[in-house]
Amino acid sequence: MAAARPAVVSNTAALRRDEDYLDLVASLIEEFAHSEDLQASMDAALARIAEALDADAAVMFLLDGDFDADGTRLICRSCVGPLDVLGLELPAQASVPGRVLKHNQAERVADTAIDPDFVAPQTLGIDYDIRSLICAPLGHRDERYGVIEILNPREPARRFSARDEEALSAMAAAAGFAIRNTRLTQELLAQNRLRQELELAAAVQRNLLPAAADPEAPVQGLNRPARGVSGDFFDVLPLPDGRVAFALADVSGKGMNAALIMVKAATLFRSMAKRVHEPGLLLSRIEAELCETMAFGMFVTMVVGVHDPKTHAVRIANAGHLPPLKRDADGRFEEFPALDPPLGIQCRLERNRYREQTFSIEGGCLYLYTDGVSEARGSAGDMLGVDGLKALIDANACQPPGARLAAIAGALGDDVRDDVTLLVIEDSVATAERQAARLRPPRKRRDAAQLVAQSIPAEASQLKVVRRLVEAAAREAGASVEWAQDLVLAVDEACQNIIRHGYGATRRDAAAPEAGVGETITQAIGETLGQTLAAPFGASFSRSVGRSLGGTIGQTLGRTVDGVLDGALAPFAGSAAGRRATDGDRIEVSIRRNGDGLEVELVDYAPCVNPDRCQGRALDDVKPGGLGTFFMHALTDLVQFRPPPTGAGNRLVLTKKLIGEPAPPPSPVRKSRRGAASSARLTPNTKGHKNRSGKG
Amino acid sequence: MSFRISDNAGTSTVFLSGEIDLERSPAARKTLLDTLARKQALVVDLGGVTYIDSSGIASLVEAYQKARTSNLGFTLAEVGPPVMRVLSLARLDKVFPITPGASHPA
Repeated sequence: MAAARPAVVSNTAALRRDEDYLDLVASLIEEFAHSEDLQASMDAALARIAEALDADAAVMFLLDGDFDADGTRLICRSCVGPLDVLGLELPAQASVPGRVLKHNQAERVADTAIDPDFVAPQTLGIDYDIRSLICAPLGHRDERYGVIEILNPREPARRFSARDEEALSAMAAAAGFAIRNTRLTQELLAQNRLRQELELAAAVQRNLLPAAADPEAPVQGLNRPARGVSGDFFDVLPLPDGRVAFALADVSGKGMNAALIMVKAATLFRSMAKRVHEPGLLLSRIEAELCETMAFGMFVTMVVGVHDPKTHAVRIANAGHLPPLKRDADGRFEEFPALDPPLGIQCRLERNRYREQTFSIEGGCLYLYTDGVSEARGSAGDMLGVDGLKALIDANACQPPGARLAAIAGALGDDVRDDVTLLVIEDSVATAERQAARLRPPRKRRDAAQLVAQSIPAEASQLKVVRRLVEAAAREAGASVEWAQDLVLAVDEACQNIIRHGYGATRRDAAAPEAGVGETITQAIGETLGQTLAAPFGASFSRSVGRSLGGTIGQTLGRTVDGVLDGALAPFAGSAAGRRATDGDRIEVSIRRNGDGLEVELVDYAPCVNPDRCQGRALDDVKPGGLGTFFMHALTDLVQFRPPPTGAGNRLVLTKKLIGEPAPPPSPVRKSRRGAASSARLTPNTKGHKNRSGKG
Repeated sequence: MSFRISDNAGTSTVFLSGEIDLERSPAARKTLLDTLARKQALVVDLGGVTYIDSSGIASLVEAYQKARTSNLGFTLAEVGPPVMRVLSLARLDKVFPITPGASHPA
């Protein structure tokens, strides 16, 4: 071994000038920086140090642990010269190196014979006489890695000088820096390796979880680990007889240990559930196996169960896990708290098996979840809780199971500190109901006639939503495209009135220009409009305004023209189109079947409208909403204000009959220019449509 | 949401499209009036309009008024069934100059 180590080159003069050792320190630092082999660099450095300082021998000891800890030792990692102590171990705190490390400062021992801490090599069975030495700490700032010692000046007459001590300190510092860098690099590599191992473990775990099922499959699970590896798992195992075994578990603790136990629990379930179909027995078998390897203090909460789609029965055993949550066909929830403690607690169980619960989920669903779900915190720091989970389940009840779980997990947000695991078992009746409901528009329970019930913000941008709702309801009612278009326009206009004249009334009154646009209309248009508008407006509003059409018909018509155009322009008054609903400005839209037609009810919370005034103003004071109100009346059979519900402002009901509504006729309006004369005769109800139907 | 305009020898064609409702009528109205302000005869191509309500009709009426007072041409073109239905319901199909089919004035 000694032959392999670099020998001290003899006859080299000791350092004469300060620059000499500074040059050496610089070259050592450079060498360490480019070194890929710390040991080789250390060996080479030690040889150069011994040479530069004209020492007979040099040794490097490194600590094998924390200097202050009991039992830490200094181990010789490199040596040059005649003293071969490679691998020699010394107690870290004993002898001169221990003293140097303790004070973290180099020392020069001119005469070892009088140093009380000095341990002579001979006492260790090594035949080498150390007369004097310099020992310098290897370290970086407060970190201590070991020491470098130079032993005995080669010229027996020479003594190690203070400058030699200073030089060794500087060289040791350079070596300490190199050691630190190497260690950091190694730590990084180790971390990287650990990370790769974790990624591998996470991949292994993901493979243990059932592959993403058909989104419509009745039993579905979801697992979203908070870190790379998870302490949660779920599994779904179809049994040959048509039943489905399932499991969900949460291992106490986090990280790798929990993940390994999870892997074992998952493996045990997968292998045993094929043979053992009794949940209570299955759990006790899994526990027996788990306890063999589980560290003290770890435990696993776990629910296993079997669902029989034919009988709608679920049979579960629950080892200390959060209560499974049943939601029945009527949306009522029931919880099934655990009857026995978690796996790993090793308490004595009656009949050596976990107790079971059996119940029906006919028409409903059973949800299993981990505390990562119920203890998820919202943006305000509030915990979701079981009630919050119930609300999320309710909100997503119409979704297929897979999408439902994803929606619930998504609602928990991204800032989830714990693993999120969910499992749903949907009964076949519930599946059928849900799929059937998806083919129908949403309806309220106990009201089969209800087609739509939705609350819409009272703003222009939401009108398209209203139109889609009306369109869907009309189609559901079996109406033709054109019948639907008519109702859509009527309801749209009614909602516009609410937005502009109900909620927007205050602003509009303050801002609307009152000057009639009619004043700017040329006489020619006025006359044309007057003639063409006379018929629909006369018919539409004759009930309320017939008397106004008396002797002053010319004058009235003139005002009507102005008024209609002005009213038609009213949308722009007070920037109603651009206004956004303030909080609480909403329109409750509900659409019901009503005998042979549809009834669209619009409830708002705006100040009350005087119904008489609303209709009566059309001719006498048509400024707001003239054309829109006309459309409402023209396109429906009945426009009615009814007493509003408590707390609401207005309730407007539009009714349109479906009588005579046949299969969609070809659109007649292409001919409307030619047919204008005939249409002018019609009262502006659905007859216009019947006319089209007749043509078709 | 803006509307496409094509200029050709003193005549501008504004292509209204989609749903001209309370939300989008202000943009349509502004486009029409701005075009007339450039002293361009106006063709309003309604071929792409799938829905129009009273506020959309009002925009057309106002533009027509402005064209008349400015002695500029004003024509509706490509009036599809949904729009014609509403125009005729308001009895405005006889008021507006409507070009059958072609989107350029005769």
